[in-house]
Amino acid sequence: MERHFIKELDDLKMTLLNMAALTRRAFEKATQAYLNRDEALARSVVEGDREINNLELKIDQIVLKLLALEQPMARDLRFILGATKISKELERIADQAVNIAERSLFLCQHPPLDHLPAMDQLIEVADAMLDAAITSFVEENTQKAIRIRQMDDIADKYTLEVLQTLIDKMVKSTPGAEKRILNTRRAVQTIIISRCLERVGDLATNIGEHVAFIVEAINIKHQKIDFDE
Amino acid sequence: MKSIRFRTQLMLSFWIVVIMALCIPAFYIYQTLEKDIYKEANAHAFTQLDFIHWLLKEKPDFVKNQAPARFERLDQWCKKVGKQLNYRITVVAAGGRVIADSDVAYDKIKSMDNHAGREEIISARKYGKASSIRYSITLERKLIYAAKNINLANAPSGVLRVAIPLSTVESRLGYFSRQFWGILLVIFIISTLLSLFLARRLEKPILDIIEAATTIGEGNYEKQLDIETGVEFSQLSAGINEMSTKIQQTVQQIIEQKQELEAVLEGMVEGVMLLDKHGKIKATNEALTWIAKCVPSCVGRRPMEVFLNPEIAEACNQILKGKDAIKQKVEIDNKTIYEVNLVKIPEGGAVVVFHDISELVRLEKVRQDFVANVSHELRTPLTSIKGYAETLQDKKFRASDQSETFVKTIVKNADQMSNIVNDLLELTKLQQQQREMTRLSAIDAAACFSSAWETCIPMSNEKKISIDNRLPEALPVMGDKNSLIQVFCNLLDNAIAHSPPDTAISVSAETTTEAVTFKIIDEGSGIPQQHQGRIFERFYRVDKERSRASGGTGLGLSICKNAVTGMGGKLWVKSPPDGQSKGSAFYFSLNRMAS
Repeated sequence: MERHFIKELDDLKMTLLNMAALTRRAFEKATQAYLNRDEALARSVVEGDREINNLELKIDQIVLKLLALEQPMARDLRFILGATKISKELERIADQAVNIAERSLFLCQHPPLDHLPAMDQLIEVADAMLDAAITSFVEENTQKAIRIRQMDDIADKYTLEVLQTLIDKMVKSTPGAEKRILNTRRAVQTIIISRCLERVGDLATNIGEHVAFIVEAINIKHQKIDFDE
Repeated sequence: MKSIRFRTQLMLSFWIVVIMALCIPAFYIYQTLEKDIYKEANAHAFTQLDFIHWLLKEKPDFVKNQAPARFERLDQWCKKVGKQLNYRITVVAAGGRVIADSDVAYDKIKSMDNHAGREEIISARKYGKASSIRYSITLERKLIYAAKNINLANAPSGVLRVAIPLSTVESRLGYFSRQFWGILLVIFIISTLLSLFLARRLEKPILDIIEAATTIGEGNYEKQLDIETGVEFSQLSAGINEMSTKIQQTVQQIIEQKQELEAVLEGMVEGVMLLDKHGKIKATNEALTWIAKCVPSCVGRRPMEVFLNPEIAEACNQILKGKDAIKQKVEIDNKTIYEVNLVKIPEGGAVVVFHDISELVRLEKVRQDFVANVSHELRTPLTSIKGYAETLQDKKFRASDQSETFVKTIVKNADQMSNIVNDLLELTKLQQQQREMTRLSAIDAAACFSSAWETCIPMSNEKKISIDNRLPEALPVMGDKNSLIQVFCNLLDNAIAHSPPDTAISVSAETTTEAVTFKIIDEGSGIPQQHQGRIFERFYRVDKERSRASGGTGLGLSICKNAVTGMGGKLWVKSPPDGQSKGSAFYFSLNRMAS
């Protein structure tokens, strides 16, 4: 009985890791598709979302079975509850990746906007946050999980920078009707991408909070944390 | 038996043997002897009884006198005879009343118990004669009682009884048993000593063997046994010595093989990991720890946790489920491509080998891109040339005014083609030179820059781009004059092409004792991070449409890279430059002295 339970828990962890790996890949593919204007890559992200959704359903199933049959306690219980929450966040991140990919598809079909260094940095920060969230779960590292929040401020800063740069560009763009419409459309799509990236950062922060809950049984949600400690 | 020492076991066995050998016969002899002695005592008692009976028969009769006086006389007679023979003589009347007793005063006889219930009296009445052995409370010792019916004319009828002390019989038996226990004790002591001695003798080699076996078990194979007690023990010790030598050799061999294997594994560039049958990592080499970035170790974890890669995890699962071998291409961390080979171990588990093929894949892509690019770059002008030339074949058209423009276009496109071919030749030449290490001489970099700038002036004037030349007047470096002019030319060309109008290009140099680092900064759109690694490849274009329109061949930076490398320097790019938000900075270094 006990062995069976351990095996099921292990199975749950592996499925969740599989989902995390696929989500991270989807996100990386989406950002690459945006940066390299790669339509095929963007399409593969949109198509790959189904598998991630299926994995979320599978995790829900395993969790329901474990809760109903095994009466887990303490850390096991926290892990099982945490797993459902993390899978939910991962699914949302994957959805954001699909959003980014769809916007990129539009951008690929039109001439490129000027290069935006802030966007590069935003992608880098969001990627680092997602990476930290997944690694903190694998390593059960609470410190790393808590520190994801610090990066969130940086991500917000870059999002704002992208927004401002693009608004300036839209305002300044030549009043010629057709060019202006195209300019505005491209800029708005890019702003949406930056919003998606910022959301990915927020969701990664949430994953970090769930990891802290699983490992240390502490709830760091909506709390101010002093990082100088 | 486990907790009893060998010595004690031996002693106990000795004792058991001694007890069996000594006590059983002794007990038997004692029994026989006791029986004989009692039989003899009984016979003696009867003889005495018969004798007293005879005495009584021969005595003057006690019949005709008064009853009390007659009994008193009988009692006196008893006392007299009893004193003479040192026996107790009792006469019991038919009813069981004692009428005379040699050991009891006459006046006390009347108060004595009725003797009718005594064993010997009952038997004597029945059979005429009987005996029994009892403890007499009156005399406080064991006695043998012999009784006989009296039916004489001169005496009252009843039973005559003689009590003879058994002390003689008992002392003989006591002597015998004392001797027996003494002998037993002596034999016990002797057998204990003997067993101790023997046990010591046997125990010594056994303890030695135990110690040797323990030492061997602990891994110390140097220990040699030397036992000379007994043929068996010396054979055993020789056997143990041989065994320890053999084990030592085998262990040494295994250790050497293991070390060799470890050295091979650690020396491998390929990452190797070993999975157990449950799919957990059992061992890895150092290369794999680098690939997986395991802190502190991958051992005991699952491939999924370590690589976070569904393909690797799935391949591992398939191998563990029974597939023999899998070969797979896997990308880790979005930059390194591995060819992963998984092989099943028949005893359970698997070996997984990671072979880094990113460089191979990259070269393959570069080659494909190059071929595609060359064809494309040459085809574009060739198509125009062909089109215009075909039109000009028409004699009527040749006479028209437009023919002049067509010919000009053909020449322009032919020039473009020739430029590409020249650049390609130049590139090939540079790569060849690099291989042959051309002779470098001391040249003035500032002069080279000036002549390069002169060729760029028409282009810069067109876009109103100014130059901010911060180079010193003379800047000697080791290099090739023509190559260096070409490097400056190409870099300035690029800078002007990518700068917006009315901006400036700055050129500066930083000098250290060994090298000079040149820096050319423009205020253009910059180069996105993901392209920066590939812009030095032949025909690589960041933005395909725009650069072709600007008339470049796509070979400029590649030529620069090869030229600088050929002169022993390095070329790199930073975009945006340090401390700025846009534009790009190209750096290249050259040696100041001949190396």
